Amino acid sequence: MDITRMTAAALSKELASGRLSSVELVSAELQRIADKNGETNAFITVCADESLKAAGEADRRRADGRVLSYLDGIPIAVSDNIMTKGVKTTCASKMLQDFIPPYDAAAVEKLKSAGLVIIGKTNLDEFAMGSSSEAAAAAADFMTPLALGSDTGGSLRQSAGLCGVYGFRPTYGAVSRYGLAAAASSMDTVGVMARSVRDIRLLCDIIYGGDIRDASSINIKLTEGGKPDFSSMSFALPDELFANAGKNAISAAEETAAKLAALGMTRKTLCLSSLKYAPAAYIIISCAEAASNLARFDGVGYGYRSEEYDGINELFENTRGEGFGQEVKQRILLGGCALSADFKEKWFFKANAARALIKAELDEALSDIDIIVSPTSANPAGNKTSGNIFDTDIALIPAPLAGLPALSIPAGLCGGIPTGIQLTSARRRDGLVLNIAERLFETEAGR
Amino acid sequence: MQMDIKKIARSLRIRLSDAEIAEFEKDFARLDELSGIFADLPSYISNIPENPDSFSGAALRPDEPNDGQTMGRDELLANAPKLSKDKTMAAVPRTV
Repeated sequence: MDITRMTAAALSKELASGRLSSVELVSAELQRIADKNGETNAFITVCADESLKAAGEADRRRADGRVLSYLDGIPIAVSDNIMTKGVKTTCASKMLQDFIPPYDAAAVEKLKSAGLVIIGKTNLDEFAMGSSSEAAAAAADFMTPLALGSDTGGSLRQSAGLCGVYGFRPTYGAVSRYGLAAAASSMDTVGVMARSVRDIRLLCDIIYGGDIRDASSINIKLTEGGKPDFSSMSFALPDELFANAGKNAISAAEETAAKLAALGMTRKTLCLSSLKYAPAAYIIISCAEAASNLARFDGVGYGYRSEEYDGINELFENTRGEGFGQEVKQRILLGGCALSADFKEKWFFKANAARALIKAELDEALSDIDIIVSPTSANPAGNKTSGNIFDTDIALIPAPLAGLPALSIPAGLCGGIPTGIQLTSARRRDGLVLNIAERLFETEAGR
Repeated sequence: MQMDIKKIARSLRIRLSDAEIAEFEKDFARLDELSGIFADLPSYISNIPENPDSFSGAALRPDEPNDGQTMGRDELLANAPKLSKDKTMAAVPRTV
């Protein structure tokens, strides 16, 4: 058995049995990265020396009976917009091309405390404005069993869906955002990718929890008491989330619906009429927040600085003009417009009002219905994800607008390209989403 | 209403090329058109509060259970980073 193809849970058993060492495992993953990264460009930074050292420490702990967690010694990739102390964290931007953080993100602290081995930093669209596809590609192409990424408007779930792995966006606040490079703060969420639902749960068990450094963080229990009584639960497939969905995506969703019905769950009708406001609300709010968050990159404190300038104003303008890419500048400009005196009432205030309406409708719906089933992407699989904010996918944005947990599940191939099904539930019901996914796919081994 | 992209770019301290300005003018027009949907917002919700809070979309509602472990204002203040002597920068690493 090729160990790079095993799930983290299976690898943990191998480590516990003594049939495999963490050094052997990390060495195999590093070799896989060396073989494959030229094709996928999944990793910006590979932490070869550091990961082998950490793996050696994990093996010594295990030999001494001091195992830190079930995932002690398991490698994980971390998206390059999540701070890692002493390891370059660029957000895939020229603006931070040489930035080495002096601290770890809260989620990274937890990974290290649990003994996981950070094998490298994965590529992404600049400041995660578009996709986390390379983290998903790293997991899909067996370069790592686990990946930590971020989901603002669905990038993590979409990438997972299109790469044929599981991608989970937790309830907003369930994982501390401390050390996650801010894009749209009211929607940014640290999320996880893996090749099995069980691995997703194991990783969430480690990174969940409130944090004094993130005032929006909350404590959520992933384990719900007792076995879930599916016969008392219900689900729905709202039409609004199937706009533009291809035949295969629809049939995959219907297959999932049939499995839920077989568990005893009741199918209900659901209309989410407020979602007609969602694309405009998402674009305006996320751009406004990005414009504000990215104001800190001015060439003074850290990061890229233009070599040509005359005076402080020109330093700012040239640095930001040269340091940011086209998509980022687009969002800053649109966000600046949204927050301007001329447009804040017409755009920003209205977008927040629309968001409140969307959230209220989803909250009400999810007080009656336990799970919403949809394609991960409403657009047909295989369409290039441009990263342009106007290509925002309607199926992806309800969860960030309302702070809901959502899981993308691999649902086979569509025209030869992986496609995903998404399960969404109410805030704090992360455990239910994972329970249902485990139940649906408990007989299917992770890829 | 037309937006002066050059003016906004200046206020956001971003130098743009003429080609970029032309592109962003198109984006602006596209978003202006897209936001026209807000005209349909029901009247009871289009009464915009003075100080809308972006975070209200995701934060806990007053009636949602708090398990007692989520931080309150007092605890946040008690644990807030202390200012360094020059009072210009918190004595903790800056969050990016």
